[in-house]
Amino acid sequence: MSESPGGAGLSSGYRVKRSVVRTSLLALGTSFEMVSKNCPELQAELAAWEEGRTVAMGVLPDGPAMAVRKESDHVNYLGQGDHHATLKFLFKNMDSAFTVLTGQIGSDQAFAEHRAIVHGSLSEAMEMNRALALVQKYLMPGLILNNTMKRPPKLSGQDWMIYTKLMLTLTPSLVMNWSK
Amino acid sequence: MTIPNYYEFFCPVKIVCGAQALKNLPYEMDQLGARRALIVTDQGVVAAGLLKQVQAAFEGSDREIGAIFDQTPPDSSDKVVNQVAKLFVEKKCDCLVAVGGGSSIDTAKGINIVVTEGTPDLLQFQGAERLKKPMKPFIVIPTTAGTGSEVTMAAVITNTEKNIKMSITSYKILPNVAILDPKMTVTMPPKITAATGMDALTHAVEAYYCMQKNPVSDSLSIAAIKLVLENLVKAVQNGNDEKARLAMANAALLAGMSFSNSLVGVVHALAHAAGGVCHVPHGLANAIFLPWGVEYNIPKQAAIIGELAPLFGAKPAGNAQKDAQAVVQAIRDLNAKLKSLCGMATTLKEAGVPEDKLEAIAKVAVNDGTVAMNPEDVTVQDALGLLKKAF
Repeated sequence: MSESPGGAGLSSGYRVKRSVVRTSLLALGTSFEMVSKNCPELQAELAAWEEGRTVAMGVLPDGPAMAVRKESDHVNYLGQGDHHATLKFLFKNMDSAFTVLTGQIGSDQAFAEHRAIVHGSLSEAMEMNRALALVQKYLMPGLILNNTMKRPPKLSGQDWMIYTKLMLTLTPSLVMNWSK
Repeated sequence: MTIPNYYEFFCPVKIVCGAQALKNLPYEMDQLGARRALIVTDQGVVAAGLLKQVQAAFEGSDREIGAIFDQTPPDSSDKVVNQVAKLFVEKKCDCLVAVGGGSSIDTAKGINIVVTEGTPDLLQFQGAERLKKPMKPFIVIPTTAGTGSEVTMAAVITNTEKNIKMSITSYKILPNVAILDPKMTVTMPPKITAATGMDALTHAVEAYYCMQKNPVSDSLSIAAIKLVLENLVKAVQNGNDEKARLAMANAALLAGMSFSNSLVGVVHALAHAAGGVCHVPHGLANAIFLPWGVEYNIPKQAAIIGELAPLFGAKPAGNAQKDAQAVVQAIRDLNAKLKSLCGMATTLKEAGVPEDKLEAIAKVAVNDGTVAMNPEDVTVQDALGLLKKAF
């Protein structure tokens, strides 16, 4: 799956949503890598992943997409596109992706409402879902987490160190990853 | 009743139901433009004399049986699927007829994918909605009343090389026709009747309170629950009661239509895991976990679970928590009744699960896709807590 470069005939509203989705996926992928390098809870979750597992998230049919790969005890953000992932989280359209990535509904609710589908192993999808929940703990404000998660997590103890590190380094990392 | 923000519902299966429904099998093949059937079944069905009844249904018709595969194992596997898919091609069959329970039906679904897509590699279809081609005509004749596989859009098939269970969900793999004939379930022994009936009840109840519930699945769940509660004990007490058998076949079908579209939750996650780790039969595992799973979700879904109280014979208490708890108690009472009637296990210990396997079951359970649709979050610790209670 590679993003269509086309923009002719698209409304400005659609273009705005596509930009937000693309940026959100970049932020999610970049944060996933950073949190996975610092958060023992996420590392414990990733321990069950086989080396090289590649997971993508994107918008059908050819919208923005990003992928991460398990390497050693963490994941690396691979950049845009699906990078031949064996597990894919796919939003059926741009509006669905926008709704989820802007924190209006949670991922479980998105699947319940058929806004997204999984291509690949469901048990691996559950592992990815839990990993993403741990990333979102640091990325999303509590107000949004209360609305999107069944059991909203709270930052405590060492979490604040990880959160501070993420907030201090996220912007430069986003700039570095922008062209990936 | 709540209307969700958004929902989808799909079930195009033609239902052919009632006395002598089986006799319409050749006619239904004709309607689908099929001439030569490959029958997929198992040794239990053969031993019960049910295959002979299917063969007899072809008498005097211009449709024929091209081949019979009667060695379906309890768990469908890609090896078996590919073996039978070859038979389908060699014998120039043009439609599939599954006769049996969930395993025969899932095996037939797998064969249909392999034959249609022209590849033995089912791994590439794991996940949701990956099949695009129209499938071969497919008719299902259930011989148990529980799985509802005759109307579900999912198949679970073991990948023998990787030793994983592949879950394939697609609107394309739904059968064209489900034939419910009471004669096909009368031979089920009481214990299996009880467990499969509780399987149907679990589908209906979980579909009613889990996250994908919708008005269509709700109405199906309510009808299914009513049929189970009115007929399961009768079917266990007297297997030859064809009215009760037909009612239970309908209950399983309605619950299947419901949960195929609204999915299930933690009860199924635990049952799948207990089946995978300790080979506890699926229906029995659901029966054991159902009261605990419903109780676990009361803090999130008391009002919705409480709506079921009158169906379970409880007087509405005017308090959602009490009504929901009455549902849990009624399920426990039903399990106890079934235990007294036929010896159905009601705890994991009675089902032969060693206590030292509970942690392994919990770890598998949280990776089951059904956990995502459970209203309450489920961690390994939560799952372990439920398993200990059910032990």
